[in-house]
Amino acid sequence: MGKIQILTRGIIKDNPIFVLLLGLCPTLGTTSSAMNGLGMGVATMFILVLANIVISIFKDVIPNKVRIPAYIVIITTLVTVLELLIKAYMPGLNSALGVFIPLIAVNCIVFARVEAFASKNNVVNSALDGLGAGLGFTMALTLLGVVREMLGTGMFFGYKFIEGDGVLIFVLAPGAFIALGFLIAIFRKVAKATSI
Amino acid sequence: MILCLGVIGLVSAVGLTLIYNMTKGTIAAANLARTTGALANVMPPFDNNPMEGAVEMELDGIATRVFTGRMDGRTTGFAVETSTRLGYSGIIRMLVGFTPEGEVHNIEVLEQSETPGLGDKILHPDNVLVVSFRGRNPVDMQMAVVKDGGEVDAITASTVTSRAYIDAVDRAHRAFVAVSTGAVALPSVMTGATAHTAEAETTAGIDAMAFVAAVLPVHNVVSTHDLMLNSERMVVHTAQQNGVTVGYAVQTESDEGWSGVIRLMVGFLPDGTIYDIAVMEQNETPGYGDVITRPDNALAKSLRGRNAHEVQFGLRGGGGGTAAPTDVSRTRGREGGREREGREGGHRRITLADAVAGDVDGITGSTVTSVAYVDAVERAYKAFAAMKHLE
Repeated sequence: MGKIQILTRGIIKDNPIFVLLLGLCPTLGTTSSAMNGLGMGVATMFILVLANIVISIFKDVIPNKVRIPAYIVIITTLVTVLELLIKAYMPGLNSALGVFIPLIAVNCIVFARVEAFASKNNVVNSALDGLGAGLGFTMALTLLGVVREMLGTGMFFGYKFIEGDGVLIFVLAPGAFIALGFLIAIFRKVAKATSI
Repeated sequence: MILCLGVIGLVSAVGLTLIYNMTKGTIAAANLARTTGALANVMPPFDNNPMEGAVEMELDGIATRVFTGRMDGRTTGFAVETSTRLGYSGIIRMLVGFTPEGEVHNIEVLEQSETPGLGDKILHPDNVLVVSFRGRNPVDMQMAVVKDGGEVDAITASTVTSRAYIDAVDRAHRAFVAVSTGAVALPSVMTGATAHTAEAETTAGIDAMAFVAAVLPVHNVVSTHDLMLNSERMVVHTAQQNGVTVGYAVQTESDEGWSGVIRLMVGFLPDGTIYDIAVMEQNETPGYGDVITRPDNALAKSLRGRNAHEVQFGLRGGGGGTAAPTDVSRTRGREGGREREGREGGHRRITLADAVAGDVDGITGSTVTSVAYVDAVERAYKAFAAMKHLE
């Protein structure tokens, strides 16, 4: 499998949200605006890449029997570091994403990539795999955020392009499910038609 | 295997410690910058650090902080950080700025989780609620939304959030009044103090002022008097607004609660009407007796607004007389004043038979607490009556 394929697989064919439906909790929770979706996506991508790199480096010294607890400790450590850094240098993002940053630690997409790929592949490929899955995740969250923000408030990344209030339900929780459902359907239709 | 896990854990712990220490200062600075930024936004200009010497108190069971802004040593304004639990979802934490005269300068919401698109409009710097308050003194306002007969414009389709907002502003205002007038009243609180150090009395005094503000109508001067009631010292605060006495707040306590002392502040209007009751200190069972800290508990509800002269102090059906007394190591001090003996004998138990029947609704499942509460209010009433008599 070529390097390009490893990278793109996470974006299209194995897109964490639209295809694998992994990590839906932060997806639905943080995408009330495009900016929040993007922020959450980038934060998760950061963890995906780092966790994949660290674990593929140490995959040979971690005994198979204790690999799960070892991975958990590594991932939670990385997430905590990320949380501290965001709190210190990006307080605005911290107040917007709040509780969802620590929850990256239990996002199943991180664990899925670590267990399925990084524990069996070399560092470069693992990093690419994490980057791909992270980009796919970020793309899905940003798209969902853009759609919800546009329909719900008439804004695009905070810029108001239509006067008035918008369809409020799309900013609320039910709207997240509705918008995500339609996006999944469209994504699969397009992916099938173009057979990527 | 264990070694490997141990090493991973150790390395993680060391790494986290390093990062934590590295970012600790920056995080604190970022938080401080946010708070001072918010302070500068809601208060008239100041050149001191209002974070220093902030007065902390608890109003209606909600932690409240009052910051004082000064310029060239002159007080230029106040900011009150408080919150409300009445919002649509979760706590709303706000910062309300006042001029020294009591006008609302500006308001900023620090934390909220109201409905996006509806209630979260309170975050907008010029929402209708802020505009309603800005430049006005809450003393001159009907503090309620128009729908409830007040004069504050609510956010459309967010009445619950708007009510909560007003609740927080009202609390902030009471805290502001407490601090701005407390400075006047502090010295007199200290007269007659014996056991405490001056410093402790000062904080106690400020604390007490907050409770005085909580249980009485708006006032700008508080004078404090000690009086002896059945050989116990009672503290009565007389509140005046522009020279007219608007009410009396009596500090009272009962050590007959389920666990420890219950301290109350009871506010009376000059005609004897119980205006409001606030719990200053209690240790009752969480979920049962500690219900007394809620502003709308059955006891407060059944006492508030009634004329104390007409209240039968005791629980409705409280006597009953059916339960056999299990431990009557004391007599109830209703007739002969409070008696101190027998108090030291460990945990006492008040029996239902002990409780005198009256017409106050108790809290279900918390008879002991309720009896103590009513006892404390009764003592406050006696002190109030004595005070009126002295005048």
